[in-house]
Amino acid sequence: MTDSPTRPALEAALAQLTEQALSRGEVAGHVALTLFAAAMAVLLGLLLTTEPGIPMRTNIAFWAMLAIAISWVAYGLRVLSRRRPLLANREVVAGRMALLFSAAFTVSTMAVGWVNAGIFITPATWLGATMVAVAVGNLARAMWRRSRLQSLRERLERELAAR
Amino acid sequence: MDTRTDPAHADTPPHLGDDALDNHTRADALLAVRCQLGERAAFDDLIRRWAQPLRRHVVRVTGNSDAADELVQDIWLKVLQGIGRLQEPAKFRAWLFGIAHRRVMDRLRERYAAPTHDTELDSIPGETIDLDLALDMRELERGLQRLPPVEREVLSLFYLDELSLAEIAQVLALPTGTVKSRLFRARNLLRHQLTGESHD
Repeated sequence: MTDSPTRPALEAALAQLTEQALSRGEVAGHVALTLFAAAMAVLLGLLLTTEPGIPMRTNIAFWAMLAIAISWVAYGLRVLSRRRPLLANREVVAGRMALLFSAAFTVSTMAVGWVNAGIFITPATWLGATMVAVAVGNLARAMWRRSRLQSLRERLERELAAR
Repeated sequence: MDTRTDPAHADTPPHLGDDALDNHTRADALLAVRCQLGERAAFDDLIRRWAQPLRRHVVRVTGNSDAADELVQDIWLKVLQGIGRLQEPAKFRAWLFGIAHRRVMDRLRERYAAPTHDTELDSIPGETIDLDLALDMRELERGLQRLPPVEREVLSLFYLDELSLAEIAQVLALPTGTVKSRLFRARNLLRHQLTGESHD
């Protein structure tokens, strides 16, 4: 069944589809876009809920920007789950990126809080800490999944070699 | 014509002992796992291993070799999108043909909804496997083209793609008993076709 003559045109077309779907740059770009849009959405949401004196027109503009940021997050997640699948190795990379982003966000909120009000812990810091916790959970899940697949791979290779 | 044993008593592909079947399944599972890990080379290996069997299956079931390449690319996109979520790599083959089944049936539905065109009866790619078997296969493939798509598909999966009854049940999302009866009906139809042809 597998020793049939090859048809280079079809196989080349399938290889090209694979290249497009798994392109490293495309996947990394979509991960970065999703994380950036998520950080924007969190920041805008925080401003809208914690700053009481925002003028009406600014308020409307912030809500519009929040809607745009959420749309980008939804788009990024959809692309990563459907068109540019995040396979196990890259899921770990994406998990590390998310942890880095959320840690940077948390540290920034502490710096801003210290400069503005002389306090490290603000509501934004709590939000950042929650994002870090979620990122750690996702990274742990991705690493567990990769490790499980690697074990399965080694077992299958051993079994095939033994026969 | 009997290139494999009676489907009522056979649940494994012909020409392969249990060991060989296990190794085949293991090799597929290993490739699937490597793909799930994100190894680019594993996808190339998967293409080399499955592009042609998949294309032949599509040609047999649709009876149309012109559209086969496009359909195989469509199936491959679904494979790329879904392989990360494949829960049991050992069932890769049934999963792959399940995707093919759904895409082919969608395509046939489109075709039958639109004005029908003549299909290419002689467009099956030649086989270079064992001579006696190849003759049988050609006879089987010739008869297949005169059967309705549903019967064509089940015979193709069992006799030519060498899937077990359990795998076919997974592919078609049907109980094994239904697959058996469909296979019997299809085989009787095929015999009828071939007998009628030989009397002409």
